Amino acid sequence: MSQGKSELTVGKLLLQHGISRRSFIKFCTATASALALPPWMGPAMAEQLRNSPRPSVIYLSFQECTGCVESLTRSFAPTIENLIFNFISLDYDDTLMAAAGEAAEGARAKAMKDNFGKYVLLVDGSVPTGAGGAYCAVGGRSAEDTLREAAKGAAAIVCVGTCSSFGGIPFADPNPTSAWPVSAIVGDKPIVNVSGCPPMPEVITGTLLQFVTTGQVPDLDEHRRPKAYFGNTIHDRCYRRPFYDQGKFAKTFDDEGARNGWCLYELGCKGPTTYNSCATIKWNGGTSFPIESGHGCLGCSEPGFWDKGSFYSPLSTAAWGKAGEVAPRQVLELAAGAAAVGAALGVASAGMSRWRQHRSEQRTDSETKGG
Amino acid sequence: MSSSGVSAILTELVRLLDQLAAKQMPAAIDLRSLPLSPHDRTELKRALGHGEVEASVNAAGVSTLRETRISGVWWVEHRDAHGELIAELLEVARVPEILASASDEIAAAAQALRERLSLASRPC
Repeated sequence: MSQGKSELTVGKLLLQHGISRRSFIKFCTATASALALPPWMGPAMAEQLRNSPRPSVIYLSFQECTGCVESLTRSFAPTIENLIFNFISLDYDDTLMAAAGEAAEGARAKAMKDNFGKYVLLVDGSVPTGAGGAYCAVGGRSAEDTLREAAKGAAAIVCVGTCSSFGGIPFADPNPTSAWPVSAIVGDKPIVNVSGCPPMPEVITGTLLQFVTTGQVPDLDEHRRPKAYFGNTIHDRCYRRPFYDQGKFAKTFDDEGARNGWCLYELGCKGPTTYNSCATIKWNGGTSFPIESGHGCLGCSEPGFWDKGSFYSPLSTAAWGKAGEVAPRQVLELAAGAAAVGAALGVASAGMSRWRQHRSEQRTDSETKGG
Repeated sequence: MSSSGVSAILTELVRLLDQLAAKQMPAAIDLRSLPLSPHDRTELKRALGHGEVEASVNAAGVSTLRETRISGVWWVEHRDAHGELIAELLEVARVPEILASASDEIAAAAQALRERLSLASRPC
């Protein structure tokens, strides 16, 4: 994005595209409704966006599977093309952009220089630090180097997906690449974690739109996730919750209980300890979510979900509790690795604290559910 | 939502109308965020009734805005280009924001009209 393009307000751009103010108010109202934002946010969002320049957005992909970008491109409200063409200036995304090689890296360098201190940095994937960073290098530079450089001029960092938020699958035991979440590498910038494997498309675009509209990081929970989308557990908002309250549980995936849509708790559903919006916003334009398709929640938006035992063991069983045995080693590795990247004790302490808090939550939940 | 839920909406509308009258502050209730049953919806529509004004807006699909019998309370439906309902609200306002013409568009329209008159008056 050139400087000139940065100064172009969203309103002027829409006018150039023949999109009327009324169409825009309507779009923002529908978006606010779809994202479960307060209804006054619609017109306020329209007014703010119309008078704002499109912020520069840089999207870095590290150790990841591209599932997060796949998810992002399936956003229905707002659609990805609406987001890219009207509300933000996506200046670098090596998966979506047409440019490649030096031209692509040049676009990133120019966007970072022109918008220093103002751009939003989206990061997808964990950061592998093993083997001198050789596990993930783009343009001859390690993921860690690129992240550190890009973070310097960012107004805020949005971690897209569980890998960049919490380390995700690469961070799982035995973590062969010494992978880290972004928060273990960058400590001096506002970080928003939009976790999920993949995260919900509307939660990615909604978080971005909220930031663009208000210019501020939204209210976050203890894992730095936006409370607007991660304020309730899947279980709290699950349409099968009445069956849980009645003690009606499916015992296998093809028994009478499963056919009657009873609660999947005993089949390993992690909904009671998982915070996300799947049960309310739902996937594929509001079509359904995993539990509606007959499968329990995997808990993919929670830290360390891959190391918490079988997806098919109930939360109240020992398997879930045993997952805690993995955490201390991960935390120790975190400390050792942190020394290598120059952030030792603080990160280790924070990691240990988060793990303790999480273990405490698990225990409380296990005790409650286990009776 | 039971009929007590409809009562809650009506109570909230009283508060929002007081706010509009005292502070000129418009507000809205997002009906799609509430678990309204068809029965609740019928009950709510009956409680609010039909007022004197009904308007439609053709902007990226049709929007209908009907003032209810409760002055200042508008039942607003936004549909997309395919006719799908994308938002449904009770707006509490003198006139819903979407109906008013925007200042910058008025200025642009005046300029466009001025240029058109200037062209028309030019000798052939």
